[in-house]
Amino acid sequence: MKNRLPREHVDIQFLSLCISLLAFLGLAYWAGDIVWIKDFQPFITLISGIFALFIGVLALLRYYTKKMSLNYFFIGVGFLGVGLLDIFQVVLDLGGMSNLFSGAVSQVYPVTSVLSKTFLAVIMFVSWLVSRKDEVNGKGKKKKEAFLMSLVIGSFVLFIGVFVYLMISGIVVDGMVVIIVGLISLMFLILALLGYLLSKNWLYDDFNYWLIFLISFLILSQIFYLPFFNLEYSNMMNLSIWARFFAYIGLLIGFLNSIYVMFQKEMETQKELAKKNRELDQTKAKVEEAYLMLREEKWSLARSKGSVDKILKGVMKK
Amino acid sequence: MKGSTTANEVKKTRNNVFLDVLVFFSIFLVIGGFAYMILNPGKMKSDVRNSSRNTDILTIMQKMVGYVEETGNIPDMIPLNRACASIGNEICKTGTSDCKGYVDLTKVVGKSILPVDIFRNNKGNGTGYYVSHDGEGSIIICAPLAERSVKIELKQFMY
Repeated sequence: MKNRLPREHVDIQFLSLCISLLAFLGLAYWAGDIVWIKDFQPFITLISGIFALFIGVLALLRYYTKKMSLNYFFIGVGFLGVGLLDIFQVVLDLGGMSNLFSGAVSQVYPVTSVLSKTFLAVIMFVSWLVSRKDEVNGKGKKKKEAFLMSLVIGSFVLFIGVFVYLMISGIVVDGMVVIIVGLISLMFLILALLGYLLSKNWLYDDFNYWLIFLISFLILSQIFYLPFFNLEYSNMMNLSIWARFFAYIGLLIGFLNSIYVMFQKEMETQKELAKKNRELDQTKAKVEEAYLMLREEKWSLARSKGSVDKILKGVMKK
Repeated sequence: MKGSTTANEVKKTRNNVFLDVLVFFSIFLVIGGFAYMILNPGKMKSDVRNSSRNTDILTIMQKMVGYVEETGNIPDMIPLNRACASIGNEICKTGTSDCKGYVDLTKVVGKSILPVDIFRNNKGNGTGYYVSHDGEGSIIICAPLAERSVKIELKQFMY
């Protein structure tokens, strides 16, 4: 039986999500006049990549601790892939780490970066599909795990293959292709968001809310990337990266929160155990006390029986 | 005791309803924010102001070219500085009595009025446009008050 979260808690969560989205839109509105934001583009991409690796490791750790939900496994492997793709992208774009803060990105609209975005969108969608199936049946996990592993590895190899092919052959892909692929990613993200919202697991588990937070910011990132807003191209690229950065921070908070909840539960269990042990000790002490009293009464009875026997013997002699 | 419990429940329900309304309201605000960003009237206005700045510095440059063609020299009041947007390089407004610390181009433009940046209207004696020459025959005019991190600068070789 799952415990439902308090209604106020859920309301505040979604309110904070909306406020975060509004604040980000506000940042986007003012970003045109912020000069330093451009210099941080490769650095933020790199940090995002590192965060994605962290998320991947945490998700895998979570999965292998309990082996309850394949959703974590999928998110873990997916984010490890995305993190590697992001870092690879930065290194290739800059031509080395020495240019990290110079902001000299080779292209205004790097085509190859669309791959990691699409990969992440597909991962999020499939993770929802997996979580949906998890609820239906829990059998045959090993087979499912092997299948998913090969699916993730297959898609990752495919993305890497395309990525390397594009880099080696230097094919200039039309902007149109980027927009079509970007739209497909956006579609996957929206489907995943709808899926998670409709599953209503966020009523019971905080982690599902953080997944929704992640997907919302990823959608924002994708909208900035495509680009739909009336902003400068360079700004939109920047804001797309910043939105993704915030999305990763959100999921990282989700994982940390779930670890905190697990520790809290563990502490409660420990407290409960200590309380039970105390009660057991008290009961044991009472039983011992009762036993001692019984023994004493038995002795006194025996003693009194001995004196009665003596009296009887005396009477008989007389 | 029972009465206070009921009052608490009513208060809790009110809070929940208030939070629900806030959530719905903020969802509408987010959608409105998206719609606003698609149009972004603020950026449109900034673009218009930036394009008028472009036109202004072009007008000033034309006057410079006219002066150099007439006299054969770069106006001596233009400071030598490769960085255009520096202190002391700002052009003084036409008809201002005190042009100390500014570049007075009255000799160059004659009776015509110099354009003023929209952010400098009714503010100070400067036009908001800056001028300098690089010592190699080029005049640089720039508009450092340009918005949205746009760099508006014009450099022209005079000879």
